[in-house]
Amino acid sequence: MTHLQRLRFMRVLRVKRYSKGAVALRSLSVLLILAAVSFTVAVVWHGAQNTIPAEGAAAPGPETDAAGAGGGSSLPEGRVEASAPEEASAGDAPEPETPEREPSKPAPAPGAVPETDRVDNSYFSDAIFFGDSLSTGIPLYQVAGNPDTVAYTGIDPVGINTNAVIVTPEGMKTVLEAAEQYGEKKRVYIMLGANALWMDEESFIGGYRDFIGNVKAQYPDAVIYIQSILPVTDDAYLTYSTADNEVISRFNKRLLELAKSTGVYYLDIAQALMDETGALPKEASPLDGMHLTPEYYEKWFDYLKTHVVEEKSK
Amino acid sequence: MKRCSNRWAAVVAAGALLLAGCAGRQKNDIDISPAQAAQAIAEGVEFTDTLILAEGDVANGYYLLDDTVTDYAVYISGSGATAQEVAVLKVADAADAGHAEEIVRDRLERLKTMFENYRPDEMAKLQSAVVEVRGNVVYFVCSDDSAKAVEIIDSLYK
Repeated sequence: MTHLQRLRFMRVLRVKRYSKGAVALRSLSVLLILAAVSFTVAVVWHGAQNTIPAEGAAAPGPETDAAGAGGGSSLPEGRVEASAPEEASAGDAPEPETPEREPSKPAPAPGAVPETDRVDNSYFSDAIFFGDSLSTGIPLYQVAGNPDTVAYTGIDPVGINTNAVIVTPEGMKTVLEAAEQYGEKKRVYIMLGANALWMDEESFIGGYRDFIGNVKAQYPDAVIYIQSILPVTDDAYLTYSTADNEVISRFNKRLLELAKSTGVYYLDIAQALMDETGALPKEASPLDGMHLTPEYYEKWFDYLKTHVVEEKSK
Repeated sequence: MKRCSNRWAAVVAAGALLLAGCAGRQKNDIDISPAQAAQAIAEGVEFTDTLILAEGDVANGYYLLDDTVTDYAVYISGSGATAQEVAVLKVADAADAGHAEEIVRDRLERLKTMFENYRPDEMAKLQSAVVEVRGNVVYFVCSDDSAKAVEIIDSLYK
């Protein structure tokens, strides 16, 4: 075959390669490959969806041995041992890359009291609430049957231990002294911290730990709940210069640790009230970005009614 | 000449105010309903906070009311974050009004203690708060508009 013949032959081959039949066959092959890839992606996507908790889901279920603790739980009923979900899945095959999704509400903190059957207002008939200005709204709005509440605007976790701020017929008393008039209680709810965002964390936690100790001494048989600091709106800093959701989130993590170390229960109310960005919605606090409307008191207490424990912490 | 006419106008105005004041004082024995009076103030004065009528023992807890006070109505800051407040306390005998005024002034001092560090921007309202004794009724209004509060109180006696 001469060089000229070879060139002609190649030209014929090239024409053949791009003939109609060949083009159709090639297109079909490409389509089949694309279909196979799409199917694989769909399967992976479906698997990934099943591993993402549903929006607003409660804290993880009963504790497992996944973290390697082993043995039976010494935690009271309803209490969930803190273990990060990613730790529980350690050793599993690496998850496929999660596709970009719409922002969703953050999940409750692992270790917080999980969702339970709803109780009614009578649950609070032998409860007492301690707190700051946020808690002063409980009796004012007659929330949940108006449980006994001793609260003082501006109080913080340090001052609550010693400051005589509650007016009584016998004179000014500390919060716990003033609470003596209400007698024995089975349940104690504490919400503090909104006035302490300027503090260093150790002072904050130290004061809070002291208060928990004082509450335990006064109510030795009570179930004690500490409630998360509530989130604020994005513009709350205009009224309260220290109001910052990042700081609140950091303090709440310390409160969760404090609850575990002191054997009390942590209620992640912040998670129930925040929006998908982690902030309090503007409608919840049109006045100042921190203090709630009556509707949000109802949301707060809806959360309390569906997150309860019946046993006293050991 | 202009200054002279201004002086006469001021004298006439002062006389009118004096007469109005006397007339008002004479009507202080009008039987006032604390509930209606407090509501009129809560609705007539512009408050930035939502005021909530304190029911049950809540008002008593804030004011430490005793048997001297025969009837009362108290509106408290709904947010708990402002000093805005309305209280109307009624005693049986005008001679006891001084005691009711003392109750109100004690509350005012406690509010000042509460807010001086917590929300210093509320102190201006507290410094200019209205405490008025009219016969056997004592009024307390903490708002941004004390003049309007007094105007409404005056209107109750016309």
